[in-house]
Amino acid sequence: MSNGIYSALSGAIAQERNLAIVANNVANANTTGFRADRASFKEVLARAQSGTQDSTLKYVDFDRVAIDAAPGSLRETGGRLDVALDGDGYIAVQTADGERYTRTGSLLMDSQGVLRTQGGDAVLAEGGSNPKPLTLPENAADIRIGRDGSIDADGTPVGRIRVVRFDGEEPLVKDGLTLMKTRGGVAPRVDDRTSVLQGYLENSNINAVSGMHELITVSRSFEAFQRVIRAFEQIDGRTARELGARS
Amino acid sequence: MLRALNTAATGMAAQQTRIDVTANNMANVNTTGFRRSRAEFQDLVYQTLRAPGGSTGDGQRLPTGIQVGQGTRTVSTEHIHIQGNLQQTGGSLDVAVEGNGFFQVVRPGGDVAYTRAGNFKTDAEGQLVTTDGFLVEPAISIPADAVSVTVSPDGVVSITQPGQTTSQEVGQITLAGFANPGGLLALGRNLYGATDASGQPIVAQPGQEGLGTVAQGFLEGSNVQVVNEMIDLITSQRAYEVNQRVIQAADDMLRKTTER
Repeated sequence: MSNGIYSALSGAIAQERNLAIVANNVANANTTGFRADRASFKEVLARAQSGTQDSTLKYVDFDRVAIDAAPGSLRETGGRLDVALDGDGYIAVQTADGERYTRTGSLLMDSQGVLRTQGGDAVLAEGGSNPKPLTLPENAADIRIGRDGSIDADGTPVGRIRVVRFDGEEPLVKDGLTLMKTRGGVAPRVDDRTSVLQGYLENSNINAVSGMHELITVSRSFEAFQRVIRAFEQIDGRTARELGARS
Repeated sequence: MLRALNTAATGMAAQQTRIDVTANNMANVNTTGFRRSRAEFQDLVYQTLRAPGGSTGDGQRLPTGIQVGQGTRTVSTEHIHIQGNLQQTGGSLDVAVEGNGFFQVVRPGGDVAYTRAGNFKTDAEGQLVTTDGFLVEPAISIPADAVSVTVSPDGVVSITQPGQTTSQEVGQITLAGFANPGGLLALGRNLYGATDASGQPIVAQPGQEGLGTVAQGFLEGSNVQVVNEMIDLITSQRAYEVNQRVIQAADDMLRKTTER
């Protein structure tokens, strides 16, 4: 028996799992502020087992799934509470589980004037070590949001949206509902480089074309592994037939 | 494999919702006082196959984990309350709001609903009503022999009667505003209802409380922009197709695995 068939099998399994990630990217092609996941793979050496003839047998396995940080394109909506971030910052929101971060700027004001995301989480105001939710006057006719995130309601400043950034590589992990949370030990910092654009929203950074490209790559790779498995099967079959016939 | 199939199905359902919303917007491109809706989506909770920060066994910590998403869901179909274009009609009972306020009308059940459509009429008793015959709140009665009707920017309705040179005040149009107009419930027939999300109405005369003034002889058109809707339609359709291809790809993998 050739052991190579197991390497090809591990490759096929990895691509099958990769399809789940591509499927999630594509399903979120129209989710405002969504960022795609990219899987990368690694080679693992098979553990030395008794009875294994070939100790150099290699498998492929998921290495990690990273968040694609490329910004999505912006679309103009004209909505007074729609904001897009131009830069690598995040809007900080308050959830039951603590502070979370999002790029989804389709905000709304609740009946008490609290600025919230579509999911209902309160947008935090910049200010010291204990940020509070941003509250606007309920009957504000004119709301202006400056590029630094400061909000004026009818000409009166009411606060500034807490926009933060993080140091280091891949500081955030996804928490679902277009929210992200920090990995342990990463602290947010006030972001002065990111501009807040009123009247715009950030599209998902995956679109039909890039989604299709990912999909084709996955199916073709899977197909290739499938062919390799078939080839091994044929070799084994021939070996058994021909060597078997001679004895 | 089933994961990819289910995930793609959520994507197709989401695009379907977006096309439904776009279709309704498009259908109402000429509806007076119509406010377009927008479907918003969120990704679903992630399945964590390997937690970030976990140990790799040789004293190292994983810098990132493996999280696989499970698709998308519709979080809201919000009404976008952006001012529509004002169209001049010259009708003396056509009134448009320039600002954030809504007209109030009494529905047959007695509850108050809110509308931006100011194409009012008078009924048999001379009461100011909407095109569906619902009374405008507060009630305004216009005598049958009125020669002309004037609505001032602050909502005062006055008439002149035959043989008279001075006008006579017959009523006051008031407007209602909401902290969160996006939270209003669409009732059909151009009407909206107040909800806990929209907040209680703030009722005032036009020009106060930031509600905007009224303009006689104008109607507010739909705020639907055909070009934007077309773009939404095209992107939804393409996204739907790609999700469909994911299902095909998953199906293909299953078939190739099982065939001999």
